[in-house]
Amino acid sequence: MTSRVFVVDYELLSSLGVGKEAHLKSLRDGFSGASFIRNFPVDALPNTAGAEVKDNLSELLHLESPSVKEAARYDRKLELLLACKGLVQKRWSSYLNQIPPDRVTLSLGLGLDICPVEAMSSERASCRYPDWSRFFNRSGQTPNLLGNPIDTAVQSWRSLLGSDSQLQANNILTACASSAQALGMAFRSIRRNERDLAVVGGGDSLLNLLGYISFLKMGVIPPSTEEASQQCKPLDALRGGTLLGEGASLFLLMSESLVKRLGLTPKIEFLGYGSSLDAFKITAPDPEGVGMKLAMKRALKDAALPNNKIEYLNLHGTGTKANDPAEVEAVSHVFEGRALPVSSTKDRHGHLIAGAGALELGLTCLGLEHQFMAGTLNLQKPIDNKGLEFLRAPVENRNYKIAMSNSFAFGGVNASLIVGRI
Amino acid sequence: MAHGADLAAMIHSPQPIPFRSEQGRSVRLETAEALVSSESPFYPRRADLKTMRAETVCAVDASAEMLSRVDLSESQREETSLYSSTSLSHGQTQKDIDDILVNLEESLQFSKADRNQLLMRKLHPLFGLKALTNAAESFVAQHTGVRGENATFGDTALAGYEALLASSWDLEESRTEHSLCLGTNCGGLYSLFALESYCAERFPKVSTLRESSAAAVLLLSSTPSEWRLLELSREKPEGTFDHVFSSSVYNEEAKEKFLSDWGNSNSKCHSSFDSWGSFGAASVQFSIISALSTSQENSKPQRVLIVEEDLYSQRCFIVLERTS
Repeated sequence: MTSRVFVVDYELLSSLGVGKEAHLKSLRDGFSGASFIRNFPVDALPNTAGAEVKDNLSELLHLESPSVKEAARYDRKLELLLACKGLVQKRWSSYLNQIPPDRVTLSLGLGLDICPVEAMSSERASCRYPDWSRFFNRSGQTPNLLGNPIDTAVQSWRSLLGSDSQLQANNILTACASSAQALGMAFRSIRRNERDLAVVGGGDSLLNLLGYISFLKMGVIPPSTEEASQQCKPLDALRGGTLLGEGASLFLLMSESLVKRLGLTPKIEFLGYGSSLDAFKITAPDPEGVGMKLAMKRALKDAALPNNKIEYLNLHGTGTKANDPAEVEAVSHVFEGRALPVSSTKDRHGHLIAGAGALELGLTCLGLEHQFMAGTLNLQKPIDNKGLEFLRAPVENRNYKIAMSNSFAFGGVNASLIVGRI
Repeated sequence: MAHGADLAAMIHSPQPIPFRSEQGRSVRLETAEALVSSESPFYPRRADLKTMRAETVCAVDASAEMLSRVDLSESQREETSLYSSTSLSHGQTQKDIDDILVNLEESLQFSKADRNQLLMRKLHPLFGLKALTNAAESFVAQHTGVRGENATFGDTALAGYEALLASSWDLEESRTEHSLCLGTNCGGLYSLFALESYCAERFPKVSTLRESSAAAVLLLSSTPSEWRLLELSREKPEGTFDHVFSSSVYNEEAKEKFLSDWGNSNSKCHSSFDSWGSFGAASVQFSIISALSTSQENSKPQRVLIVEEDLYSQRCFIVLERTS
């Protein structure tokens, strides 16, 4: 006996704004969150563009303990995730209080832990036995806080969800597919009646010196002096690489029985999830998109839907040389050359890495709720669309019910999610 | 919750080298690194080694060898799922980070522009890939042709429990007939960082802890086999057990506690502590392999309990049963 799964609420935080209404407005207005980086010194680097969250987040962290706030001060992705928690905390508390911990799952997709190398360097230069713990446990107050940002985020949520051992809490660490996989795994745990409620999502920021230079060295960010908002060109023949972004998103998923018991009327239903492995290379996706095809086909099978039921697809669409043609090939194959409307929004909010899947599913849900399809604004000279409909400008008043969102990671991990408007 | 997956095959990772010590302010960490012989027929391709951490090399070798023992067609491999648990990876990128620190120290008198140019020159181009948290999953797929459903969980002993749970659900919900459950633990410097902060808060004097890098892999199958994965739970299960195993014991105190908790119920207790210390995120997989290896010497049906506890005192329990 399986349960239907509903998206009861969600919140988004990125360079496009704080909260889902701000994101909807940004998408409709064609606003870009890209600009030249201000959070760390980028002097003499061959590119200086990023999609930073420029809002002051301190107000959103006011409910956190001093030790957690201190930890967030040192780790941007943790700060973003906790700020997103601040957006939902009051709204969701009333639901969370009514559910026993053994019916709840907390699943987060977070990014790579990048050392604060500059601070570490100063510490190492200043003493014979460096106090490394200062960087991995910034609190010194909370006994069960290792200083690992992932675990700190979980510990922070435990204060709301309960510390009962039956609370399922997990962290998914599959790079750019992390939060999409966290959503998919949480969806399945509710569908099979293992849990009734999931707090799920993720966040990331590699907009720091080490992270940014790593991506430059890998060639994922191109050398460029072009206007920041114009640099990332998904699906374009002149694309040169991606735009790094940052942010966090959280979803509240519930079983049908819980939705009924609480008298809620959600607008979005979670319909399916599929994942796969390329088994190809760690540096690039399979150009034939074999793994991508498998993920989309598995999501359709999981949702028990024929491919003609999908009416819009939010692409992974990084704007890198390797990803876009492989993804177009895979999507066209799965949807049999149909003129499926597709777009990528990464040209405005950038690539959130581990947080990408959750943000982009949120944008997909916004589109479904408001009968709106986002465009790929920087698309000027399209690559071969293989029969797909590349959306350039936002499309309003498009009556559609079911959409898919793709997330593909370094190393060849692929995830596809399907949601529907009720 | 009961799970009915059968453990069709198993293998364990290579022998550790002798312990080396990492001295922190509050912790002396004894750590051993897992190594695999380059003579192994399943040793990774030379080109891939540039981006592989030591425990990833072990994971590829172990997984490829195990799949060679079972006769899976290409299409079966394509549908085989792969769930992995991993620790964070700073330990194996220690040299890269150390180089970065040295460069930064050299550049303390430089301008920001000079400093950034120095880092652009010195940072290894594959640093980002070496630090990937899903590297083991990716390389195992590349070397085995496995393309099924997947995820990598982090980053303590409980991550292994989540990976095993996900593997067994894939079988129960008929998404696949076979599922790999992989555990990798990095150990080394990152563990020192983590344990340092942990111990600084708990122990008034320097504490000695032990943790090793490792890779261990299980193959779960819907085909009946000798061993059955009977139960996965966060609550202590009922009944008595012939053997109890744990691979997440970090120090002598924890070992004593493990023995006193489980040694008085007619069980034989086994801990990896004396030989290797904790296996962190690979503990669940390693304990199961140890259990199956030890119990094979005894012909009568047996019930075995795996108990793992992470540094947050979160525990998980796994019950295995011999079916013949």
